[in-house]
Amino acid sequence: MSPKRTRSSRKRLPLLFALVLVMMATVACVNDLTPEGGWSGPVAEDDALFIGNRDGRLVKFDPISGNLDNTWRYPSGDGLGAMYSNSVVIGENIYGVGYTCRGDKCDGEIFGLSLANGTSIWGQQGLELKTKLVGSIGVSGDTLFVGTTAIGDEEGSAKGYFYAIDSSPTAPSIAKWRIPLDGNAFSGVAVEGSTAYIATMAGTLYAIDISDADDAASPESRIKWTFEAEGALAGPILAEDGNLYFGDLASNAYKLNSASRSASSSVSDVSSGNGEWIFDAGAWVWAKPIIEDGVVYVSALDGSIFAIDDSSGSEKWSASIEGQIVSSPTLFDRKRGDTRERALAVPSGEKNVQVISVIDGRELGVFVTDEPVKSTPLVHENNLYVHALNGDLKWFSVDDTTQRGCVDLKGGGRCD
Amino acid sequence: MEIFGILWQEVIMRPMINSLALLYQLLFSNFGLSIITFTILIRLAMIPLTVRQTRQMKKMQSIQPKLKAIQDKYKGKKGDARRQMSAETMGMYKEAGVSPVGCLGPMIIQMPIWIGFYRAILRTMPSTPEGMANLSDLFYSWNPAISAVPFNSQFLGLSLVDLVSAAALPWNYALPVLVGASMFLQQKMTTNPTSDPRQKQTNQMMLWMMPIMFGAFTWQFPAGLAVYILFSNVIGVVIQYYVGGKQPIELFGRSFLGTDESRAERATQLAAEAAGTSATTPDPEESDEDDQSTEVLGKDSRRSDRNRARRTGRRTRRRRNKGS
Repeated sequence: MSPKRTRSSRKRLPLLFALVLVMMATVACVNDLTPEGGWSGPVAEDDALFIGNRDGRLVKFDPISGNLDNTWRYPSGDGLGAMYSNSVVIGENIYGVGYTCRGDKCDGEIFGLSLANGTSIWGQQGLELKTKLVGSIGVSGDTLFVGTTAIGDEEGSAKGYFYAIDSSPTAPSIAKWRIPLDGNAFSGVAVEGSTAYIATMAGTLYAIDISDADDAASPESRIKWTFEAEGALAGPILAEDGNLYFGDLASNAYKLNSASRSASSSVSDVSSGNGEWIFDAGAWVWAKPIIEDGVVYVSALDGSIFAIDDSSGSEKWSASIEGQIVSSPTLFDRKRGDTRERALAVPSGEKNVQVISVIDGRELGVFVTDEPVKSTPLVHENNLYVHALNGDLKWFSVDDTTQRGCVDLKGGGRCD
Repeated sequence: MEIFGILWQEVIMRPMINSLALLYQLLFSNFGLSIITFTILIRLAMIPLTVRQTRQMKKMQSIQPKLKAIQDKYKGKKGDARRQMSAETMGMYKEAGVSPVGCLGPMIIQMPIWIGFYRAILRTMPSTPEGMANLSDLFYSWNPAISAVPFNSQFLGLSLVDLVSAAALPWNYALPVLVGASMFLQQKMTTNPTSDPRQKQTNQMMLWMMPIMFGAFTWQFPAGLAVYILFSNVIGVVIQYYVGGKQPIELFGRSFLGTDESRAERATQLAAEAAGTSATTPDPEESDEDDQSTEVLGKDSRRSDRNRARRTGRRTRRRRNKGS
């Protein structure tokens, strides 16, 4: 090579290197906008389990044979993208949500499928919206309720919506009515009696009257009250016995009494006289709290688990695991000698499912997945089923935590 | 490879994310102001580099006549003579302490900042649930902004996290044009002057290609990154102007800004370059004594340089004598 060419090449090399770096960053970082899902846990109905896999397809698993039913999957073509919440079974049908994004353009679908054959009860496909659908569906009668983010192809769209959907296969229109919200609704919908609850990333919890759901007039007048939390509300809400349990991204866990509320309220209105409390969990609370025998179990994103006295809001014990806790733990009975003891199966975003004592938070064992777990495990017929983040469904003996099987939910083959 | 990932996260990403979040908290929950302030702080921190670059430019200007003399000496010659010319040219650069690609230094240093900033914006305002959950691991525990998530990404009608191509009019066109234009201006002010025709060609390529390419890339960047690059360029131009001694900016045959003194000095330099001499050429005997930082190639090279300098000096004195 001549000196002239060598010198020019040397001068251009740093420039070319720099441009390549920028292009790599541009290309590589587009993936940050694509949802991955994998937070959807198994749901049991009759003798089958239904799980939303990493491709965004709802699949059916036969626990007896330990294989997928390859004739039952939805959709049959390209998957919906990502599923973050468990599907819901109502009667002979199963309902759920999923979405995908290409760049900033998102496509979501609310689906309703026949349990018998996996085909849509609404015709070719479900209700399609240009939005993100993350949280689980709420149900009351023949109406489904779902929360969304902004609708992409709507000029002047609100930041989120609460939709009422007709679950009947013969409905003239799937969407009945909707209420605009002040932020993205990732929380899903909790229903108790004639009230639905939904929370937004703007930190607002809405209580919505869902009685006479067919009446589409003045949907915004259905808002009974709102509550302004200290931080964004990302996780699901537990509604039980007139009380609401949820967490926020300002590291708080809340217990609110629904009946004592009216109009708008905020953190300063939380009253211990109504049995309400706010608990400082020290880290973001995303997973839905669970409650049993007067104890509320709250999980935080830093791996902390707290057992909280339901009436007073005081801490009974705390424990810690490696990794984030994104989905709720599962309560189950495990064998201890000749007796059975109650334990928590806590999914770890690092890897494995930890077994924690409900009495004092001691670690009792581990279900080894060797993969991150961001879905709620399911206990069914003395087995614990775990949807791992790599797309496998693994099941273990609840008594001795040994693995009994593994199936790849995308390909359908065994992985054990 | 994992160590690089950890280093990248701990040295670049987490400080950036936490800085942006903290500024957001302090600046009225406005992410646009947070980005602009962050940009100002980064550019201020880079002032020593800018000062060094300006000194390089001035040194380069001072040796232009000598470089021209070398080119004239070997004009039309080929083979070993061309190699000798290259060696003498590089020797001249070394002697003066100049890097021919010195102007690239600030840009290369800014590359990891741009890449890191790109990812920091996407991570600070994630659009997916897992992105939001993972954000909790990136905050320092003491950062009060941790409870302010999610951040409001709106700024002057722009969504800072969405791509520029998805922005509303006029931003979707204005931002790429502004980024390209500001980059052109900055390139113009930091390009080393040269009489070497090949170097001139390279400079011209960079002067036009870089702004055009970056303007085009901006179309696919998050708007927040485009705002950062735009303000970084604008602040860079301002800093360069003052650090460089308020030199006039030449655009399309006209001079802008500058003081009367700097304009006159620049006119003299241009005239001298065109004539192949320099009014600021030091006396060769003085330069031999005073230049303590000279790095020489070897005895023979040093001797030939001194001889050449004496010859040039004699010629200059003869010309001056003739003029008077």
